[in-house]
This record gives sequence, C-alpha cells and structure tokens, in this order.
Amino acid sequence: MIALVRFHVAGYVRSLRVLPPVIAVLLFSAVVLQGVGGDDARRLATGTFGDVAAFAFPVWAWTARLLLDTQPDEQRALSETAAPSRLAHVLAGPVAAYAVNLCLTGLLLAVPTAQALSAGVGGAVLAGAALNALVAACATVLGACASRAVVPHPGLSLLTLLGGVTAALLLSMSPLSWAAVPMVEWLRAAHDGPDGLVTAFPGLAVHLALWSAAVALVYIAARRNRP
Amino acid sequence: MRMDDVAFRYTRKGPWILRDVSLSLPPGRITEVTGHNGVGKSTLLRLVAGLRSPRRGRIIGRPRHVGYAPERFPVGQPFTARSYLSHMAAVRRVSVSAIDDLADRLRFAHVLDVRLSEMSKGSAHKIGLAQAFLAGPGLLVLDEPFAGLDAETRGALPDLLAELAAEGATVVLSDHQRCLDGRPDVHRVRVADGTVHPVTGAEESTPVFPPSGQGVRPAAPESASLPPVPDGQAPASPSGQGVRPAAPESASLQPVPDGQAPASPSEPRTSAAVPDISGPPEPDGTPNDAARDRAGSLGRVIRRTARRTSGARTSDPSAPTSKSPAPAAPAARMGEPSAPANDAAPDAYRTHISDPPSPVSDIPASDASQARVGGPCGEAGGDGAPGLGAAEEGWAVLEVVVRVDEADDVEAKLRADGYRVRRSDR
Repeated sequence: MIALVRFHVAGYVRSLRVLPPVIAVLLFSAVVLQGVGGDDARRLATGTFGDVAAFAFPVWAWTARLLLDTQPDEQRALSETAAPSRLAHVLAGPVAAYAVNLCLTGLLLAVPTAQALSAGVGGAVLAGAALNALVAACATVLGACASRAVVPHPGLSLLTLLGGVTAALLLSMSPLSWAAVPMVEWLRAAHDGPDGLVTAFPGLAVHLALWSAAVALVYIAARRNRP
Repeated sequence: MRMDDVAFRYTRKGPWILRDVSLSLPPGRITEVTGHNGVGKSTLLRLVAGLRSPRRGRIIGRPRHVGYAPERFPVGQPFTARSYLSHMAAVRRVSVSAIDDLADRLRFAHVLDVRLSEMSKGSAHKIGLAQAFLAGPGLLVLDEPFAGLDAETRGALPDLLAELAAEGATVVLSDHQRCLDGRPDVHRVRVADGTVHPVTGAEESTPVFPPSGQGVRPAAPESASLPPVPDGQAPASPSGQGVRPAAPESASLQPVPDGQAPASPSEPRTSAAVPDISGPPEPDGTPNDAARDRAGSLGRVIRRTARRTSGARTSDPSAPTSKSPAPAAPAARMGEPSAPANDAAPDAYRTHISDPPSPVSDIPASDASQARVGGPCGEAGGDGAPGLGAAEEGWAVLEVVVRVDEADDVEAKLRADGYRVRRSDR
C-alpha cells in the first residue's frame, strides 16, 4: 500500500494540483495569523490552534478530493488490479491525502507554534498540534467521500463536498452535536487557555476519531459496493 | 476461474448488459472475446478482471495477480513512461528491471523517457500493455490489445501471450483486428444478445452475422477448400497471424447485372480455415443460395471498385465489367437474393469492377485509397503500420459505397470482422 500511496502523492504533486492548497495555507499564515501579546498571550496563542483547525477543515477536505481526483478513472482500475488487495487500493487514496494534509498542517502550524512557544504555552502545543492532526483526518475522509470514485458526477461531487463540510460544522451547534465534527467544542476549549485545551483534548480526540472512523467506513462501503 | 450465471447492469434499474453468463476460464487458455461494438465485451472483460462486480451470479477462482490493459490507456498522468512503470512495478512488488525487458519485447524502449501525455496512441498503448504484463499475472485481461500497435509488436504480442499461457496464466482478450485468427490454441467466445456464446468451429474463422441478413458476408469462394496459395501471392502479414491470402483468380468478383448488387468478394481468412458457411459454389462458379442469403445487405452497395495489387485479373478478362448484362447465374443483390437478373434498378445499385491496369477508374485515386478492406491484422495507425492506401502484394482495395443511414452499421460490422476500413465522406 505504501507504493500506492507514493504513486498517488507523486501524481498529485507532479500535476501541480498541490499548488492551490499550498497557496491558500501560505496566504492564511501570512495575512491572518498575527502576533499575540499582552496579558492574554498564552490564551490567544492556544486559541490560535483551534482557529487554524476550523479554518483548515474545508481546505483539507478540498485537498483530499483534489488528490483523489487526480488519477484518471482508467488508471484507478489499473491500480486496483495491481494492488495487493482491494481494501489496500481503496485506502491508499485517503491515506495519501492524509499524508499531504499533514504536510499542509505542518506549514499551517509553523507560525502558531512559534507564537505559542514564545508565549510559554508549553504542553498545550502538543495538544493543539494533535487536535489539528485529528481534524485533518476528519476532513480527509469527508473529502474522500466527495471524490469522483464515489460521486462520479462533478457537480454532485462538489455539492457533496460543500454540503458535507457545512453540515459537519453546523451540526455541532445543534442538539445533534454528537453526530457532528465538534468544532464548537474545540474552539471553546482552545480559547479557554492551555489548561482548558489539555483538559478537553481526550474527549475531543475520541469524538474526532470516532467521527473519522464512521465516515471512513461509509467511504469504504461506497467504494466496495459499487457494481 | 469460472463465471456462473453472471448478470450485470450498471445501475439498479438499468438494462441488463449481460445475463446468464457462464464461462470457464481455465489456466493456460487464451480466450478471445468477439462481438460487435457495444454488445458488452469490455464489460465482460471488466467483470473477469474484477473491476466490476456481478449483480447476480458469481465469479470464482480468480487468480490473485491480475493484469489488465484497457482499450485506451489513460495518458493524462504527469509521468514519463519509465516513472509510471516504476511506480506500477513498485505497486506490484516487481523489480524495475522487468520494465526494460518488456520495453525490448514490446519495442517501446525509445519512449521510456517520454511523458505519457506526449506519446502517440500506439506507444501509450504499449505502456498499458507493459503494466499489465508486469509481474507475470495469473490472469491477463486485455481489451483490444492489438489496436494501434505497429506491425512488429502485433507480431510479437501473440507469442508473448502464448508464453504466458504456457506458464499457466489465463488470458482473456478482445480483438477486433483478428490478429489471433488461425491460432489453434485460442478459445473463442462471442458476446451477443446480452450473453456469451461459445464460438463453433465454423464461426471461429469467419465473421458472425446477424440472422436478419443485415450483415456483411463475403461471397462464396471458388472452392470452399482453397488450394495452397503459392509463394508470392500470400499477403504479407505484419504479424504473421491471421493471414488472409489473396482471393483466388476466379473468386467471386463477378460482374453482375444492373440492379443487382454483388455478393461480396471472397476474402478467405486462410486457405485452411476458409469458412464453409457459404456452402459449395454452384457448378457454374457462382455462389449458392445460402451464400446469397448470408450476403445480407451490405447496405445498398451502389458502387464497388476493386483493385488487385497482385496484377492478377479478378475474373475472366473477357467478361463484361460494368453495367453488363447478367451472366448465366447472377450474383445476389444484397438482401434480395431472388431478384430477377434484368431488374431495372437505379444506378445506385450498379457494381463496377475495374481491371487491374486501370483501377479505380471512375473515382479519384486519393479517394479510392481511402477505403481499404481486408487488411491483414489491425487498423492503420501506430508506428509503421501500413496505411490503407498502400495495399500489399496480393491484397485488394475495395471501395464500398453505402447509403448514409447504413454507413455506421456497415462500418462497424466490417471492423468487427477484422477488415480495415477508412471512412470517406464525399
């Protein structure tokens, strides 16, 4: 599966489809992320991790869909016959997308991490980085569900992506928040300061992991059950 | 590997593409899937390869390692051939040295460092074949593997397939070019009417025509059992497979009366595999009724020009050639085998046959060369493949003019039967 993942990533990078997300991330880092200071420097620096995750969620989903759609349909068939197993073939794309999203996360978190360390946030930096990594996983599987392999029609695919992202975020403000990406919860925890984020992180991590697993199962079922 | 009562349709309520397909694909067998365009051959191949799942029935015993080459290789990828094949080799856990071996055998070593998007159709097709051959698959599924290949590769590919089959692989392929004709080790099945039929011995070497008589059918040869073709008369087949010798001197390029379209000229596949479905000729050398019936309607043939590049006359030199009175036993009009000999038909039904020294007398040479029927194997195209306008020794160029509304059907049938066709909209 590693070879398949590398094949996906190589195609994505060589096709230059990677540029739009990279440019978006760099613009966000340069323009939006400002220095933190004053009495609330530690709390603001920690809160930035939550803000970055909320901003990047749709970008990560978009990146995943872009990467998975880079491979022509016929090549997907060729890869399927070459793959050691069908499950490995189905999972290789999302894993490649997640790897790319983790790289984007590294770029995106460079400035907030430096700010947090300079503000003396300490251990909350790790919690913030892990939070972003988990949110990236959620966004990746959501983007995979909107890829051409699952939704062949381009218009419907885009609609699925936008609708999925919107629903996943908006549901978190409703009584059905347990079924949504817990955006409100992680924003609240991050803006509570380093201690608040560290305290809330285990619950958030479980929620995000379960959500990712559930959507990943939907993706696998959709890919495996197609005629 | 076996398919048991397999049925498939693309959508839940869509039409069935294939039904009641039961097929045995044992190791070591080469199976050729034939059938007209759009009948489901590619779908069947995808089912065999495991790229589609049957809606009903089951497919069991599929080998673990499957090689699949599509009809059109996806060139829209940002790789050179070498980097692409290296990735595919890594996925298949094969050493990259296998790439060079295949590049030599399939003759694409010179394009290994060319980007896929910049490749010719033939070269890209070779890359598609190469990735399927990597790792020596236990099941090799090839969709039109000979299309667009140059002559040398067309010749080498059957041997490559035979080697793989000899090693125990199951090989399944579709081939409109009939490049495997005459190979005794090829098992043939035909996709028609939404299912798969075994091809009988007679069908194996002949085109299959719909019972409605709408198909194209070469007329009966002079003899159902042709004598061996002397050296120099046999056409040069680039692949060495599916050789179709030139029609005998007195083959059925008979002049026909006005109003009567002729039975098609005889283009026997091989001297040993000449179909007998046309039955023996009548004593006077004309096709019998069965042949006429099967001649069907090659559209409404309104003019046919034959050019024999061997320099031999197609029929009795003294016989009338164009718009001549009926000989003793007229050939059949397409679709109307019992039409009277002196039927006053419009010019559109007249057949012209030119003598070799002045071929294509009534049409421009450039146009005449645009329709060549009876190519040895494969369509024109690819590196070094002879064009339709250059008929080799012993081959004939026919121009077949049909009604506009029948053109697509006739072209598809001719292609399905392995002839080369070039459309000329004049």
